Amino acid sequence: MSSGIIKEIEKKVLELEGLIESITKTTIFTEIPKKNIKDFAKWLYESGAFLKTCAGVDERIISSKLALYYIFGLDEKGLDVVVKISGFEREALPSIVDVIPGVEWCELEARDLVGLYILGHEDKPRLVLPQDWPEDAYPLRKDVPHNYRPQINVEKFSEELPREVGLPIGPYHPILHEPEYFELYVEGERVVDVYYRGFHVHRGIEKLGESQRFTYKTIPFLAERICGICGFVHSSCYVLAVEKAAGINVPERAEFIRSILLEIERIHSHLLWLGVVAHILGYDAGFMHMWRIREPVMVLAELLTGSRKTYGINIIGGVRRDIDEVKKLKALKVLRSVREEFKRFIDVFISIPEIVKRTTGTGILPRDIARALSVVGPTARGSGLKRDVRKDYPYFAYKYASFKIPVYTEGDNLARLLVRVDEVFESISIIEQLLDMLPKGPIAVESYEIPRLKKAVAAVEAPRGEDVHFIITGLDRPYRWKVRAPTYQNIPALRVMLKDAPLADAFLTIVSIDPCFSCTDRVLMVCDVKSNSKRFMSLFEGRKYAVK
Amino acid sequence: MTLIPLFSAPIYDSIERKIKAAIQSRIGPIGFPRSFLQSWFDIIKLFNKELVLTSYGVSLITILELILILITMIILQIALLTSQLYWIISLLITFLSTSTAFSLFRAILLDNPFSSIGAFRGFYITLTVEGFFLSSLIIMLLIDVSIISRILLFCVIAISCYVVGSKVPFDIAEAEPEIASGVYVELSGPLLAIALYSLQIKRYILAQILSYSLLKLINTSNTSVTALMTVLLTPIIWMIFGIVSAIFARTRVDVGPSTLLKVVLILMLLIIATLTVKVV
Repeated sequence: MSSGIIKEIEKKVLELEGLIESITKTTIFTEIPKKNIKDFAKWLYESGAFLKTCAGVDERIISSKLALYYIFGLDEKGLDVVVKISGFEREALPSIVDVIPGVEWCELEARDLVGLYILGHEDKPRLVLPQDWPEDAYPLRKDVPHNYRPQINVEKFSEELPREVGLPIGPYHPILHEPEYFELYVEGERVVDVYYRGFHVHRGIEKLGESQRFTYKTIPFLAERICGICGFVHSSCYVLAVEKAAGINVPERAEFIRSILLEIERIHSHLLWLGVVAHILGYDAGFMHMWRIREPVMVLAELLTGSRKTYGINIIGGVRRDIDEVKKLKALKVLRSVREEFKRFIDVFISIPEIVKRTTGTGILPRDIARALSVVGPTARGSGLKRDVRKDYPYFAYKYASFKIPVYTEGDNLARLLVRVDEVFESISIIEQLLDMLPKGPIAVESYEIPRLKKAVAAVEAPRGEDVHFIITGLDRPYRWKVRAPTYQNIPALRVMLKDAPLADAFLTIVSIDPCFSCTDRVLMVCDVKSNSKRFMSLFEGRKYAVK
Repeated sequence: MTLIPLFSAPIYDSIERKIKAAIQSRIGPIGFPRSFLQSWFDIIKLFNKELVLTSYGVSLITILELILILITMIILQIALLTSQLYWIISLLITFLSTSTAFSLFRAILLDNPFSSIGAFRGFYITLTVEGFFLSSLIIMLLIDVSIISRILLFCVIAISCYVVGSKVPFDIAEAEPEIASGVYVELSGPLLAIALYSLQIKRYILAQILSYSLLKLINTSNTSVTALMTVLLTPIIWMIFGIVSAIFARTRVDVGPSTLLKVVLILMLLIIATLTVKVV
């Protein structure tokens, strides 16, 4: 990280009457007067920063205020900039959505869950909470218990249904493995508009992590359950955030093991995705073979961690399981065979004319829109943005490995497919390098202390893109734990990708961002409503809440 | 012989599933009887499932579709044994086209966007080949033409039989994920069993037509030998179709019909050219 950029940021913060809270190795924490936040955000954006996320925090116990933290990343400098604005309850805060369009969802989330009054969003429907949630109950405020169960208001659902109805897809659909609602408006076989309503999955993981049911030590196991495919990414990102906040130096061997498992997760996730794409394109032989090739990778994960999925080996300060010489040799053998089989099959796969024709020129996401929405992962790299946390903000053992970041400029479904294909080969190579270089030594620190009210931002490159965890430490558990899964950042781009494209390619395009809705929906409070009243939810109800 | 397709169509379908499973590195239906009878088990199971009717019209049309396909199948068996009777061929063509039209009407008449979209996709594909298919069949079966013309006619019939049989990559009417079963979306239980059984009989008919065309191509004259050979060739053609479908992905809705039309048009122009040369 160069000191030049830090000085520039310091200068700009002072110019805008703000203050620098602290500077760590990878992050600058600042507070800016709310009237100047737009200017600062614009300056950061024009300096090349991407929006990572924003997080509403109930700081009334600390400062009597509600705060909103915007987290930006200067990828080229490997520097995160956390900008805080705050205000008393019901005090209006400005939105920066007209400067950075990608911020809309997280501002709406902060409004719904923390009750921030953000100007410009007053008339917008709820994004995260259901319509029958009480008006003044904000689940992520500290005075709302984690087991709060509101009374539902059935009258909310008696509004008139829309006259015009599109092609409803979801909330339950054979191709959607999780409940989401898309409504496609079509003219003939062409999609002219799209409405999306997500956040159907109620889990309240953030709130649970901040509740007395969990502690710093047990949260990694909760974090790993955010996602059924890339759960290790979430537990790694969480422990990284806590380790950064507490200044814990993790043994090198543990960092190598974490990186190896993260790459194993990437390989099996990409192979799974390639199989799903083959199935969607009617190439079931491809689906079966891709999953056959994936199977030894799952067995390898079981060999190294004891589980095919949800490895459960991350702890703060290290890992719980070591890799011995026998496992190392077996892993290298499996990787060699997976590479050969994948190479042989992928050559066939990408030479099938229907696959090439259906992925070429469909679901295009132009580079400028990808930049404006700060999309991440293969979605960004398929649109020409060279973004990869492993290179931009090296963490764990990635600094020791040599690998390329595949980037394609076409922005279509084929580009995103090819990015993932290349990444499988790169990941195999990374694991081989790290296994060869695996240092000796302990796999976890013996003891550590986590001071209160320390902040940290951690980012880990998940198979779907950058996973971000923001943490403010508390007593025995985080005071605030914000999770931003990669799909959260990529879904808003779907509207651009789907519009004016053939209907038959709509699903391929939705799948091309490799959406993980359970990761994205994790923010909701658990809402197991017990009521005598029946609630009827029509297919078109989602349209009323759809965020354009 | 007339009743053979009634029993053997689901059996061939089961064997095709087993072959596809082998191509895809899967096991497929397990055990000796299921390897041959899985599709029969499926049909029986569907018949025991609850019937949810969205309209009486759809059930009527689905049953009529099966009846028409069965009549087509019976006429085809008679035609194999009495190919000198031209009116039988005409009747076969009439019922073949009517049964195809009925299966599309069934989907269009439903007040369901998924079914309508599927039906229109089915229309694109069927209209692309149907006319060329039937006219090629008439020429092949009724007119004595040169070997080159016969080869070209056989190509058109082979492509058409594959396409009308709704095999990958031309199964866009029911298999695209966004329309989730498309033309079958409103069918359940016994009605779905009838629709699937109709499709299997239709595939048998198409495989048998292609087998018969192949024998016409090599100009076999003995009627009883031709009939026997056709029955033996039908499962082979069915399995070849199955293997071909396993190695393709589904075509694009806009690209598939236009590419198909181009290919069939070129073949038809060549046929016309060869026929004209012969006349001159």
